[in-house]
Amino acid sequence: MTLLLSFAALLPRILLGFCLTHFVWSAVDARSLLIKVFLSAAVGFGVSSLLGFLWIWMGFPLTIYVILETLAALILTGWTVYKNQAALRFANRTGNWFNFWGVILAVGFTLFAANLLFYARTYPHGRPDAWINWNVAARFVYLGGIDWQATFLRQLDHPDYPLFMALTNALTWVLAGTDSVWSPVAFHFVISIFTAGLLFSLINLLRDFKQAVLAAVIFISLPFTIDQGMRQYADFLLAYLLLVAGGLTLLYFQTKEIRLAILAGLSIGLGGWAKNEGLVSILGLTVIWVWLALKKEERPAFRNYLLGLAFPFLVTVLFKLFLAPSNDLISGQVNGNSFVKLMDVTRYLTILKEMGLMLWNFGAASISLFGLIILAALLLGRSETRASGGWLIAVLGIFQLLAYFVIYLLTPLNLDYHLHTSLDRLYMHVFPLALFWFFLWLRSPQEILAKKS
Amino acid sequence: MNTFRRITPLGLAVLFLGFSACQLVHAFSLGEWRNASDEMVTKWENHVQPLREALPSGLVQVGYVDDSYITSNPAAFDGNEFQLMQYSLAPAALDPGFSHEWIIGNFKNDAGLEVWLMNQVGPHETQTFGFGLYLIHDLGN
Repeated sequence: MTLLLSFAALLPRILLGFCLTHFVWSAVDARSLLIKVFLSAAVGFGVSSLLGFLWIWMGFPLTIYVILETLAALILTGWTVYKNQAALRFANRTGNWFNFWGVILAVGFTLFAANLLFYARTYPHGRPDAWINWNVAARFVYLGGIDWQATFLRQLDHPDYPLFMALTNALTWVLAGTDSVWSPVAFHFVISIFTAGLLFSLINLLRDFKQAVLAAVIFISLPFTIDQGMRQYADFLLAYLLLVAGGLTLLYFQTKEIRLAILAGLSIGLGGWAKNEGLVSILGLTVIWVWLALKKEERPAFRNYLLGLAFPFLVTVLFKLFLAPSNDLISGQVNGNSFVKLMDVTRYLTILKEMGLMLWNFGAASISLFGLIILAALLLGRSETRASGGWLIAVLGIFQLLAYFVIYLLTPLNLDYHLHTSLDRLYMHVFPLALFWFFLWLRSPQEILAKKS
Repeated sequence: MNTFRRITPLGLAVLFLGFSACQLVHAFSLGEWRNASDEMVTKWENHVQPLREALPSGLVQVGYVDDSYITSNPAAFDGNEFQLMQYSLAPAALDPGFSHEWIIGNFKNDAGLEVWLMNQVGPHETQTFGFGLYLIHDLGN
């Protein structure tokens, strides 16, 4: 019962997210609508957590915020449905999914959902960092009342971590009326499903249905995806937000719909609010947008990107400046020591070796995912339908990994310890994005069959 | 070669569905999902619940000591149990040491505890909750 209640408590924010997304990006074709559905969690939870944070920082009770937000969500949803009745009746226009590949998708999705729920039943509190860093902060926000800022007095963990998930889970607890473990479970379940759904819907729009099914099934079938999805860490959330931002940037590049840039900026800004590594993503995507804006005709879109980025980035900066204690990786930098580390060739070799091994073994399947990817690329080859702007995705992912490489180079922690306890999660951040790029690049089953005929 | 190309996508899809199905069967057969109350953190929370209820409301910070303080061996400080305790006792922030009026004690070996506490904090009251868990009230603080 509490699990159902927790899912229900997420619904207003998902609806809010859909309404905001639709307000900014008003495309009503079936494939775009599907993308908007899977964007709604990012936008809804993200904006809600930002506003909720500002609310409690100003000293107001969380309960009042939840009431106001839920009312706003219901009113906006009613208004959006009323104004878009014809457009939202898209079920007949999605095309025929009741074919063999549709069955594969349905089976894959069912297995995925079941795996996620079994994992949650086995680990209802998540895995260690969930109770050490993430859900503990949510408890301070929910239970602490006016003293919620005591969360920053926590020792031996990371009280500097941003509060996207803490606020989201606390708001769910307020709505559900209890600080049940099933509320974070419901949140992470939704994020896992929506990430897979977004991957599917982006490829469905930019390629075809069968390619989208293949990409989604590979993503959701990996034991690693299930484990990362339900650990209740912020890594999967960041991966989702990166996919949102990268996908929307690519969509803008292809369609020149400048309002998409607002959502791209918002989602990457939310990455910084979700996890510290998201700040790196903001830098990476902003560099890409700056490069795009070298062309005069792209500048209106770039301004929209900055407009979307502004609010989450500002809140994150204010949080870091006025509330959060210093980060251990940054404060651990000792003068002169950084230069020594940069000049130490063994550190480079250690990191490269571990990254290579992790990449080969990535996915936790009994066969190397990376090996299968290479095999598929060799057998099927490149698509003859080039998705222009695909390089944006690749650059964003590579930039993120390069930044992580530098972080490992300079880490004040024992390098082997830091690599072994975090590298897989850092790869997770770019995994959906990498799969997105790969399945845009790869020849699709549809193309192969079309060539035969 | 063309036949191989045509069946490769389908083969990949079926292969990965197989991974997913194996994962599900493995999770089901392990049976850990049946006993959510036996999960480590859930058991910990159940043990700590009486201590949590005994904490006065409105506390922002409480002290925390474990066996490493008795043996004067900081290296023996159990960070994992400290973090679990922090999770369970939120929204009170744990501060290792005796600096606060209320102090959480987590001892695996509590022989001579009262004498030791008298030396550390002076007059005090102690409540015990089993599993080595104590709530210490420093009357002089």
